[in-house]
Amino acid sequence: MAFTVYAGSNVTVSVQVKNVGSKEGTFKLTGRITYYGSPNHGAYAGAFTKRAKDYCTASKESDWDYITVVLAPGQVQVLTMYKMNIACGNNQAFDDGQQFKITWRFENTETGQYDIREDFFTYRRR
Amino acid sequence: MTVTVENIGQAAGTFKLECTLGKFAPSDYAQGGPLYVGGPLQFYWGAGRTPNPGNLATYFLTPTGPGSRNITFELGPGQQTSLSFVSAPLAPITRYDGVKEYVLDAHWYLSVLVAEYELDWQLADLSCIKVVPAGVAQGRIVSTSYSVY
Repeated sequence: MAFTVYAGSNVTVSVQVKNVGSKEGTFKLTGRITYYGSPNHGAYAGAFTKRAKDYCTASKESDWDYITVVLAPGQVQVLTMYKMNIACGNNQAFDDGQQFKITWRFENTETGQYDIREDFFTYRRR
Repeated sequence: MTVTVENIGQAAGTFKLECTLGKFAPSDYAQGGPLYVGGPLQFYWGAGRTPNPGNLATYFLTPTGPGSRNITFELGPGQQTSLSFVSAPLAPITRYDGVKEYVLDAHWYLSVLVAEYELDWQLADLSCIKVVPAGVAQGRIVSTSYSVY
């Protein structure tokens, strides 16, 4: 999935997750944002957050950038995360057309097993 | 688990068989503190006790049910008996450094309950049991849906 954002945009994402195993487990969801394409390809650029708070101004709790959930076998749940105030509202923060990759990681905290999903978005200057 | 014991002595006697099941502490873990935690195999180096890297983390195989640590029995000279032990539910044990131990040590020892020999226990066997989870939880990301505003 690809979408476009602007300086000051807010992004809400609904991530549907499932325990496809045969035992109840605790899982951790993170959404890491990295530059995609030159000049900073692969560099960390931020993260989706647990609460709908402005990254640029809010105090950041220890669980700021992840959600934990306990799922029974076969259980499906929709988890919501946020990226508020893209680029802290600074239109010049990134080049027009800069692409970013979101790496969603859903990890079993007990076994270390994880599933990865990658999405992309493009930054546009106004 | 079935254990066969034989009295190889020349007189009848009362014996006690016991097992601890857990994990030998690594030899470099000599500074004390709790090493293992979690599951039914909890074991702590006791507060105030001298850390002993050779000690066992412990859980008892129970021949006669929970709470029974050992079984005593009479054997005549040359006589054998077989004893069945059933363990409590097993689980991997987690070390305090986060490493999980899946291979546990079973440490059997046999005592002769005669006053002058009471402390003369014999290490009869040391074997390993691997704990394999019956089922695992496995996460999958089904979908993502974005709203930009």
